[in-house]
Amino acid sequence: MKVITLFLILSAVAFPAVVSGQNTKFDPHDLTGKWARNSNNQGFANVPETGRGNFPEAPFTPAGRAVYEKNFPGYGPRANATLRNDPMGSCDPLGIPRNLNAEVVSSHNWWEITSAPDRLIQFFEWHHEYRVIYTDGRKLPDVNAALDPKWNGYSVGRWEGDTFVVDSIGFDERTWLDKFGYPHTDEMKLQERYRRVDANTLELTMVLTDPKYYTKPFESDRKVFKLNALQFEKPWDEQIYCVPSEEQKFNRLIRDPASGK
Amino acid sequence: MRRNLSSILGVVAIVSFAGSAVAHHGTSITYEMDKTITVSGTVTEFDFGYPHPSLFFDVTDEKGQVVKWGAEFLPTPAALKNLGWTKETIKFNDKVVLGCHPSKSGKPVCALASLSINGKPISVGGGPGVAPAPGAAPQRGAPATEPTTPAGGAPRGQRQ
Repeated sequence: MKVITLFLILSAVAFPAVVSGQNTKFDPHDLTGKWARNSNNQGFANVPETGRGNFPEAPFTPAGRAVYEKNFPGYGPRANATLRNDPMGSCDPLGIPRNLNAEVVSSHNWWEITSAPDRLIQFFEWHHEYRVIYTDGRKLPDVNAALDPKWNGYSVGRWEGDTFVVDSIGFDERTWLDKFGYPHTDEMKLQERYRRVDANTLELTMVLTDPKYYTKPFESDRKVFKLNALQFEKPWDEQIYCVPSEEQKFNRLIRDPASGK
Repeated sequence: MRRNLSSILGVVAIVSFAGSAVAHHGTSITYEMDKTITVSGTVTEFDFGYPHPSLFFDVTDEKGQVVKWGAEFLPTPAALKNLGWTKETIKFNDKVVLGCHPSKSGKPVCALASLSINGKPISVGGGPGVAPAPGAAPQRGAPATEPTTPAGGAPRGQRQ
């Protein structure tokens, strides 16, 4: 009995992060893998997918609301077929946080995390782009310095227990927060909190602060992602790209005439 | 324009209830998703690309005039591949009959709901992000079986 007890103690010391979840062992500090969103909401906050009924009012400043009202999405309660100016419609970069949340579910898209000793890298299928999250202990650039905005911002990550916390600044303000047209400025600060709750499930919540456009921190709902939850028999046989020339042709010959744009 | 559409030979508008419309790239604000029309034509081009494959075809009206039509598939290529589709499934000069949701603008563009190629029905899946099991019946816009109604005579679809 003492031998067994000693073995268990030694095992716990040797493999402290390996726990069991849904009958499968996993390391809660290992976020690597290909993740497809399982939660339905493709908005940053909890906007119903149908765009009908109740949706939360963002805590806009007057300046934020003015920009919001000039963004014409193809979805949701403000969908506008003829004025739509969603960056996705021209294959423009989606940026963070939208890359994390834009049609990641289903056939269109997913994202993948790989790791290196000093960083995590997220790959986004739709644009075949990536985003670096530094984990080497560096600090974010001085927000008061003249930062060159990036589509995906500057990001650093750290562990708080089993939660991976990513803080980011320096975003290009041409992107939308989501497909419903919520705007942000280049002064937006974003915090993402990732938690691997079992072998197959990753949860993400986000909160942004952007005082020019939002009077208080704007919180996302809880996003749930599943590991390798692709719907297809041969996911390796896919090449999903947003190709500008193809998108332009699609818009010119199909979508624009159909909508009267 | 709607009157023009209804006069095109081979275009028959049929009222049907297509079930839940899935908004994608503004699909439901662009097409009359609660109506289905039938369009017959000859294929000029098939783009099996993202985000939605497109089909271009010629429809000859009652005066013998050729009208250029376009249709978008609601599923992605990946979803269609699960149903056995390839870029060669539709070829130039194929004869096609489409059940599809007409555009709200009245122009000769529609969102595909059902399809037959050279007289043979083929599943076109169930919409964006939906990957029916191989061999499954179409989940929306089944081939029309109801009496015909002019294109402009049906209620407009609810915006999403």
